[in-house]
Amino acid sequence: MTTQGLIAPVTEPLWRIRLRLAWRGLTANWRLFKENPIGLIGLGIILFFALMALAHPVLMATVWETRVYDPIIGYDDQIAVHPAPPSARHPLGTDPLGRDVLSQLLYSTRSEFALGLLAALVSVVVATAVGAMAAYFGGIIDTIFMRIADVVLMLPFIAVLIVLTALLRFELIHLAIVYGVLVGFGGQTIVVKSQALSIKIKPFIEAARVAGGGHWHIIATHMLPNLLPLAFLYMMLTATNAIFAEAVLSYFGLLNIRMSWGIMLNTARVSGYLLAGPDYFHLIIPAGAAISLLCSAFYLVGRAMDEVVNPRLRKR
Amino acid sequence: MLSKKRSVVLATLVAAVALVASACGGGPAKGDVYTIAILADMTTTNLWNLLGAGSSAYNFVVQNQYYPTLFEQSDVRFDIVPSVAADFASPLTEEGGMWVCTVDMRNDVTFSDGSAITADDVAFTANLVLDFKLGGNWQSAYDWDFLDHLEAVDADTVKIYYHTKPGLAVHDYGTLQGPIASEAFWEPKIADAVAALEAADLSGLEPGSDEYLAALSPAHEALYAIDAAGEPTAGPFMFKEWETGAYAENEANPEYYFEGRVVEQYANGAHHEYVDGVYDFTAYGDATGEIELEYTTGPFFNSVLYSVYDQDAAVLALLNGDVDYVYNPTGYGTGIQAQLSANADVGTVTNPQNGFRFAAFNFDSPLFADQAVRQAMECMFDKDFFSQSILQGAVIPAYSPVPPEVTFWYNPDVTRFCHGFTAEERMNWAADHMKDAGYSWDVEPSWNPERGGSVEWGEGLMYPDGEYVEELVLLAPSAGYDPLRASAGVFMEQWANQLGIPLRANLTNFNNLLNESLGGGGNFDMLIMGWGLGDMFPDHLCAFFKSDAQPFQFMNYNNRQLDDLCDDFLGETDRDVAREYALQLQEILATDLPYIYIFTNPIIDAYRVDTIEFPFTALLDGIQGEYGLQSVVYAAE
Amino acid sequence: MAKYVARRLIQVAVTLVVFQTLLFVILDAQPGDITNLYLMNPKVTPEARDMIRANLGLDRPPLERYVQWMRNALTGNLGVSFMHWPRSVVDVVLERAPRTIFLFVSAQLLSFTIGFVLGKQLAWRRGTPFEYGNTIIGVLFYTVFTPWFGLMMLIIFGLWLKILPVGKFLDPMLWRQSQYSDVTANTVFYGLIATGLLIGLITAVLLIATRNVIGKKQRNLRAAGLAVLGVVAVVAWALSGIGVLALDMLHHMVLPLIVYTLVTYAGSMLLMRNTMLETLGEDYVMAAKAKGLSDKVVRDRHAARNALLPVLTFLVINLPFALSGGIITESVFSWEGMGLTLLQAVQNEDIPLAMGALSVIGILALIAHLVADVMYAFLDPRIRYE
Repeated sequence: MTTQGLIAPVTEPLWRIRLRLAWRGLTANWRLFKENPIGLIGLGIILFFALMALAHPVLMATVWETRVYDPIIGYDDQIAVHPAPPSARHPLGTDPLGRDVLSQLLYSTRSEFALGLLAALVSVVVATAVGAMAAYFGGIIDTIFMRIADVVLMLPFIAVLIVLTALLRFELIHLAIVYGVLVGFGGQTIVVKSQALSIKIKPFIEAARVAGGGHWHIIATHMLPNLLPLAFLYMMLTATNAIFAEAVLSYFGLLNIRMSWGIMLNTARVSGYLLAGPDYFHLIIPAGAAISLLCSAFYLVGRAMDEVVNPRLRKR
Repeated sequence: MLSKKRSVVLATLVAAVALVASACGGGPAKGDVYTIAILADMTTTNLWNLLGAGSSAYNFVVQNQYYPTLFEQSDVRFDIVPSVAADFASPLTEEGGMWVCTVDMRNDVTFSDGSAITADDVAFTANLVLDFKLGGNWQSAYDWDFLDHLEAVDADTVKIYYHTKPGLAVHDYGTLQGPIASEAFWEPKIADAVAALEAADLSGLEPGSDEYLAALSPAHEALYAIDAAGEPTAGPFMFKEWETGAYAENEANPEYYFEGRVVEQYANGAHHEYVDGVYDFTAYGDATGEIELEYTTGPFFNSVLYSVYDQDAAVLALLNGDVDYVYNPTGYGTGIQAQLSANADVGTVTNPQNGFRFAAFNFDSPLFADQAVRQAMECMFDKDFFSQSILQGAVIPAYSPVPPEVTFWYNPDVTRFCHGFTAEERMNWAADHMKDAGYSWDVEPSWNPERGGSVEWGEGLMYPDGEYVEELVLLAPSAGYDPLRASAGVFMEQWANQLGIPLRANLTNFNNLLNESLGGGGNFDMLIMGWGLGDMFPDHLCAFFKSDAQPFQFMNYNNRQLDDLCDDFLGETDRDVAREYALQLQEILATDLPYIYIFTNPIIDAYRVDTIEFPFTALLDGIQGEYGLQSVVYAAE
Repeated sequence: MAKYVARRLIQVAVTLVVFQTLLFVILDAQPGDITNLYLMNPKVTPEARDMIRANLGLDRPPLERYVQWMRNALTGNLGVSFMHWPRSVVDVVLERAPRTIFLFVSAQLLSFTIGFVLGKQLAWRRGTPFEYGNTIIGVLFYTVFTPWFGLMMLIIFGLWLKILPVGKFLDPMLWRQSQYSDVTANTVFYGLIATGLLIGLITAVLLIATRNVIGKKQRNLRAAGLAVLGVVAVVAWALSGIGVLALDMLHHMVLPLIVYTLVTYAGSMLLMRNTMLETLGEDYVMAAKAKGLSDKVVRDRHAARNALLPVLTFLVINLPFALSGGIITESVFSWEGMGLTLLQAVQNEDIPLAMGALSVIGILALIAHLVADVMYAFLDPRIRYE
């Protein structure tokens, strides 16, 4: 007996089916994500910052004249004393060098975003790949990678940065890559590997091997998806830490970038306005709050996505 | 009506009371502890290390005062006056192929343990430095390239022998102001170091070569490692305790020779000082007429406590009353006043700095080797606008490497290009100046009067021979390290670009700047840095600009006229003649422009006005330049 | 297992050498050297500067300096610090390490403990406002700009409320009194560290030995025992004559401890929550609940123990970095410790000091990693090392 009568012929092209399944998966995940208010808050904050980042070039092209509102060399000569408090002309006031604070804030958002995401991406790719391979293959591969992780962990981040900034023209994108690589090869690998070890010994891996699955196939289709939850969590933590690290380094004057939230805080500090009372809060609060909010947002989103991706974390 | 007898008794009583009152109530109030916040801990207490490998501002705050000198510079005016010396030194005379000078010393000055300071101590210290050839700052005190040796003729007379004729820098500001250590204390302790020195095989080694220096090194190490506990010193305060990482403490020196010294500075320039019953000294004019400044020397505190704080926390400690004064050699931003304004017990003092910020040109760069271009750049950089507006008057424009407050040496009449010009006038002048020198553009810079007026940038600048000018690099400190200079760099870039000069500002870290400039790297076309000058004698006019003055002249600059004038200036022993040279040098520098002087920022000191008071607060480099004025500070009423 | 540990120890040695080589290359690669400071002083001639370089041994080629440093390091001689010349690196490190160890080991332990406890609660009360609220608060503290936050705390507690000191680790006005002139800060630090270690060890032994005790009376007895331990420690200090100084240091430690803990607890809290949730989802937990065991027992004795693994790994691996990582806290609170020393050493190119200090931390980190791996195998019988 043939099967022809029992199964309807498949007329839709395969890609269309895959797309539909993916879309269904996406909407299902979105429903799951929505259940978690924390994730929504985080997402909301990120969208807000994304709007801010987009707003800057628009404002500079239309309403704001370059001479006054440029975040680095702008200067408002209509105001006698800088730093000036918030006003209609300058919603967040001006900094000690006469530049508009809101403009600086918006201008830096773009690079901070890129910094966080790029660092996170690099670190996750590196750590997951290395951790999975180390756990799966064991033996000498494991040893080498773990020892590399040790060395990277012990390397003083500041020293490496100081040397690099002296030797290269260092932009935020370089910082993102360096940070991502160092974190990826370092502590994150160790934790991922521990997790991968727990997965490796599970029966289904053994089953897959018995069934004839190749090494890379097993790593890619069986281990990696199970590692993703932890990877996501760390991705968001890395983004947070990268942005935070940049802010602290700029605050201490160890980086050579022209404008960032950390630089805004450093300018306030070097000019002596750090603790100067409520009149000068506009020099500290915007940049400080931005750092805090964006970092938190990344974290909260990561947390919520965690639950989407990891079935065992979902409510039963 | 009182009887005659009664009125006499009454009058006597009143007189007696008045006498007692005047004796007790006069003079500055005394206090117990003067607490200074320092921003890093000390690293050594060994004198030889102090001016050698261990030179740090925080070591000096605590220990600089320990060591007597033959002469010193008076407060505020920085006139050279005798300290341990009794009177001015004899003029330099030639004697048997050498240049000699004799100094008579006071015969009653003692160290803190009561032992006398004699010519033997002076000779011992200087000769030791010369023998060991100690590195670091020692050579600026006793310079073996000029100084041969010192000799104690008798207990109170010291004779100085130079094998090469010294100028003012080496003699008056060098040897005569060098520190004096106690021979009785140090001689027995340096046995190991001397043995190491003798063991060093210097024969056949060329002085100054790497092998020579390496051979001397073990002797230095032995010397620097000596424990200086119990060393007799002669300053207003002497060492008491050092709790590493937390604080150090000095206590008042009961043997301080100058305790109770009254100093009077007259409007006619005269300097008069005396210690009742000990000595009376007048110089630089007659002690008549109006007195500009009068004060008494302490110490007025029992101890000075140096408490280690981080910079931001130091300000908090000041606000909280934990410290009386913050020693901050890097200075505060102007916002510090806003930070302190809420607290009536804290005050600030603003003073000019002995130093300046500048942009240097690299004379290897073909464009900037041309004087016309440099002058055009100087014109385009609007110093007044930058200082008054951008930096909010926080800084003062500079036109000479000598600060205006050093009135004796400063030239107020140097050429100032485009001074007082508007932006349009500057652009026109600069563009015309370059055109006259043969430069041309694809698109000439022009003035656009719309929107308040701005410059239409020039493009495609060409040398007189028609070649396009390639991109040029301006190195400046990063915004994190110094926002003021970073800002100057960015503006310099802007103004240069307006002229069509393709200058790009590269904000980088301090070490990189140092290496490209003083380190000899040379990878820059322009470079923004700053100098902090140590003393009042402007020999930096030559140290920074003479063609052979590496590494401090790092621009490949070669100006024959300046070189010759410098030789005259440095070799001159007469102050007034030297002054003439100095004025001419400043004019040359202002027209040839190896540097564009950008600004000098004032030094701000912060202290508690409710606990301490200073007899004077207006001085070049501020209170921190004198390490907190420990010898004259007194308690507030 | 013994073979595994032995092999790992050899790897520790090799890794250390590789690390030190890499470190030397990085530190030396910075253009210039420590005598750069003299470049800014026109009074110092090039020859005078070269003399200092010769004093420090910087005139020799890098390879020669590297080989000599490595050879010396093998015998425990970590060289002479450039910044504190001619004091040895060991001297400088020993002077500063106790300050950092005391503050940051305590802080990390406190942070971890709070994170652990809260993380457990978060997992158990998942989906409630308690969880959401605590997560947001934790994350906000984690991401607040630490230097500014530290200064604000100093202002609030030091300037306004005046109940805590404004930075530093001791009060000079107390310590300068003549009866304490022979006591150094490190003496008190060592004493406090020893006290802490002793109490910690005894407490750990006690807790592990009595871990299966459930009855209320026995638990109260255990708590009383720990209290007695505390009282003995306090009395011992009071009788030593320098108890006032120890109290002063503890007083100074409070604020940096609080700040550091607040700024870091969220890390272990959220990690604990995650691993706890995963464990709670496991089958054996459901089986335990089905068996009728109380919630508390299920949570603490079944789930938490397994959830503890990654978090404990996290703690053990990070502990050695307590020595170097507290730069912000140390600088804001004027706590002159290893973090600041390292930063200065790196910035000023004091190569021996930087290498020496980082080597010490490096060895500790490598051993910590080994301990963590062994612990993992010990606590999870499914993992085996051949």
